Amino acid sequence: MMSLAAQKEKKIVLRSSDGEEFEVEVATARQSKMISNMINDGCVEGSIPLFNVDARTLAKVIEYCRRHAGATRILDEYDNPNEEIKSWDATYIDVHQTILYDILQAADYLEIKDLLDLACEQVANIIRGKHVEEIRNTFNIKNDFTVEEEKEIRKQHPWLFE
Amino acid sequence: MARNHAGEQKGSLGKKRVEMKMEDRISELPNDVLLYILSFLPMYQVVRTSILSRSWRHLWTQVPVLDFGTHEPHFTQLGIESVVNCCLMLYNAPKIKQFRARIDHTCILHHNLDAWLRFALQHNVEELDMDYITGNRRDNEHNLILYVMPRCLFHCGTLRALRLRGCELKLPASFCLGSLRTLELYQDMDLKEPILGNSPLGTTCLELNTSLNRWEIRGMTQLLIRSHYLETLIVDIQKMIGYVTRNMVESEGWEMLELAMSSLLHLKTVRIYNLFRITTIVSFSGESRTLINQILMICEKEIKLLKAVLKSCKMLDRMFISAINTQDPTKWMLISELLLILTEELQSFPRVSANAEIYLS
Repeated sequence: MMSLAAQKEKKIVLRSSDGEEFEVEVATARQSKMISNMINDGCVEGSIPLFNVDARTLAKVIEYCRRHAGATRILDEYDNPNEEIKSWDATYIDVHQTILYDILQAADYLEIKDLLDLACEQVANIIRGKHVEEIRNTFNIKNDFTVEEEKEIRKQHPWLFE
Repeated sequence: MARNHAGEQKGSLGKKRVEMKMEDRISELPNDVLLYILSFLPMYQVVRTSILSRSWRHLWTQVPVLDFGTHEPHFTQLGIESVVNCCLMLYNAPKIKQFRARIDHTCILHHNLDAWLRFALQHNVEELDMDYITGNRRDNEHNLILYVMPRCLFHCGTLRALRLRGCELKLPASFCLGSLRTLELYQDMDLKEPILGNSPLGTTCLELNTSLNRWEIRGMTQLLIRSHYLETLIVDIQKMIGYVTRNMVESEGWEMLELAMSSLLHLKTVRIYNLFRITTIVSFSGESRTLINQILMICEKEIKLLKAVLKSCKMLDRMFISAINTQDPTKWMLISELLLILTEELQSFPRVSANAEIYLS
């Protein structure tokens, strides 16, 4: 407990791509494998510039890391999944698509595996059960096949597109 | 032209959404992230993405998780056979992380089933999750007809987790499952008495769904004897659905099981689910004392299992027992009484691990 308290006191400064600075506890920052490696290598003097993450996304990511830093174990004392965290995660990730991709890319870049899992599964859940046209509409995917090409693919998997 | 103008469609709703951007963000994600997203989806849904646009065309052929566990409702079993064959033919990644299937093996040629497994193994599969639906078909002696796992399964060095249901597993004398950490065997599994051999399993977590019948105890013993590194044992007790011949002398089987358990020097956690199978409790009614006696008599084997664990597992730290899971409030009184009696019984059993904690719920 002592070391955890000591870790909490020490702070690290993260600077977003648009120049905003965020002061975070070491335990929070360590949720990111990338930053954790930097801390281990002793290259966290001053602030850490994160070129790929803007302030809005970074704030959101820090919110996640802070929540999970306080609960490193995803399992409770009986080794059951921690329901409280699970429902917190579900609310957290229920965001507009644009923010979802920002979170996803930030989690990928910062190497926060649990957050990447959460965001990817959320995208998968949006795709789940949808037909081709619905998926295109939802994600604004432009169909760039020619009619012939599309016919050919449909012929390749007749079982899919009945 | 079959082109889609998402922007126009949204515009026609007549609502101005300032935040809504019409760009296609998902297709811009790196391929490994997209593949990761696809790995959460069942295969038919994954393949369907091939028609979204050019950049999606071949992406699915590299998905690391092949999940044939859920199918489109209109698929027939015969259809599923050609779907799997078609997907595997086009699959284009060197490695499969997870292969999952749920298939009625009585409708599909077994050499096809063998070929699918071989395909997964050749692609260095890490997790194999196979559910062979038996359709309750039985042979002349009323035994369930089960799919026999091919021997190539036992020579997969990359396999980390193996989950099986509805098949027959016969451990060969020598095998090489060096990475196997998790083994889950569900009901309908026939743990035929394996040929004795010396190859140890590297498994640290073993989960068995069993009705604790005679031949399963034997198979369980054989598995445990070889699980030198076992840390966690999970036993989920199932309602007996297999065919029971007669009441045979079982004591020998239990002695062997205790012996096997006593050699597990890493086994620290034991979890037992459904100690008193729910159906048993729900179907009973009457005066509570006689009822409890009846239940304890019927669950004689389950009590034996608890006894065996306490008597034999030297390093046991924690044993979790979930006795019952019922929402029926009229049974709660009975259950709490039952748990009380069980607690008393547990305290009277001999234990080799003085510090073991028992959680009963």
